[in-house]
Amino acid sequence: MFVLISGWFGIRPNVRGGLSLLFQVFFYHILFIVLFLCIGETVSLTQILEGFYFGKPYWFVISYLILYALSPVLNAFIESSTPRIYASVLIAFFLMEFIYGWITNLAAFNSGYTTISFIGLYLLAQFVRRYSCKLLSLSAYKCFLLYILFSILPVGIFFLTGHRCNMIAYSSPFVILSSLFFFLAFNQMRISSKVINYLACSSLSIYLIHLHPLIYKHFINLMRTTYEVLGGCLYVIFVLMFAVCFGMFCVLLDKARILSWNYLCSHIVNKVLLRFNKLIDRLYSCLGF
Amino acid sequence: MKRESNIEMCRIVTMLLVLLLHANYLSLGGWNMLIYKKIACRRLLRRLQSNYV
Repeated sequence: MFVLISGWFGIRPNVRGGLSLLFQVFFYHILFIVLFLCIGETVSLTQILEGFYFGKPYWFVISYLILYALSPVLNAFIESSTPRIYASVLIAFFLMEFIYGWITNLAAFNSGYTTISFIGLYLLAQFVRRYSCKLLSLSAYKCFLLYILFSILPVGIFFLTGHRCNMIAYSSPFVILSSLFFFLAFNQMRISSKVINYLACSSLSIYLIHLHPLIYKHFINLMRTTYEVLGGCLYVIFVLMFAVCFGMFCVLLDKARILSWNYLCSHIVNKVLLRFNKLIDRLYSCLGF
Repeated sequence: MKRESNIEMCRIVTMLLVLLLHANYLSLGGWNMLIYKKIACRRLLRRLQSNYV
């Protein structure tokens, strides 16, 4: 969804934007290491290093950063190609992804948890925005119904045939179509709220915090224990309330991160970037660009 | 670029859905699989016992 939104508006990459994303990851990582050491929990060296080299849980961050770096190439293609070429590229890409990423699930696609998959989503979002008048004319209600349909369809197939359909793979056509219609449903809505904007700019923190290597094991244990103690129905109520409260907590914590980033920018980052840009200019002039 | 609240709302809801997915599928998925395996083992045991008798 985040990639679809990025594709819809188009990424305009710069070093500061990339650093901001990296800072967001490292801020929570350092914060949780310090916090866990303070309360006397054991933190292994692997866990410490995992946050810095983006271990398994943070696959999204590194994939997104690569997309961020490649976005000028994609933007140039989007601007210069004709609708026919654009559509051909998309059809070829998704055909490959569905066969090799969803049905056979080759390593190159890794169920869609890679930059390759992100490139397809980025191009798809821009294509829909530019050329798909019919999809854009669908009402929010219809888009939402289509989202529900494409979400339920693989579950229905699972119950009828017993085939899992690689249900949560990002390379699944069901996942891609349901995400697209989910996004289009919101795109058709007309909402204007400063509170929503204030909360949304910290939404990535929910992902970063609950999947942090130190937090994740406690998160899973909490869910399992609650499920065992409360049982099905009460667990559903608990998990919904937990999601809202945890989300609010992450957003509030992220405000501290934003303040730290702004402070760092005004004191260090801006000065470093100024020198870095001069260095790059000098390097380019030496190379004759 | 002006931030559109509907798209921002989409981001928030998506994140909450990701959290719910991880709470249910990743946390309980493995657990439920164990239960299914347990049921399957019991059925297999019963079938073997009935064949033996």
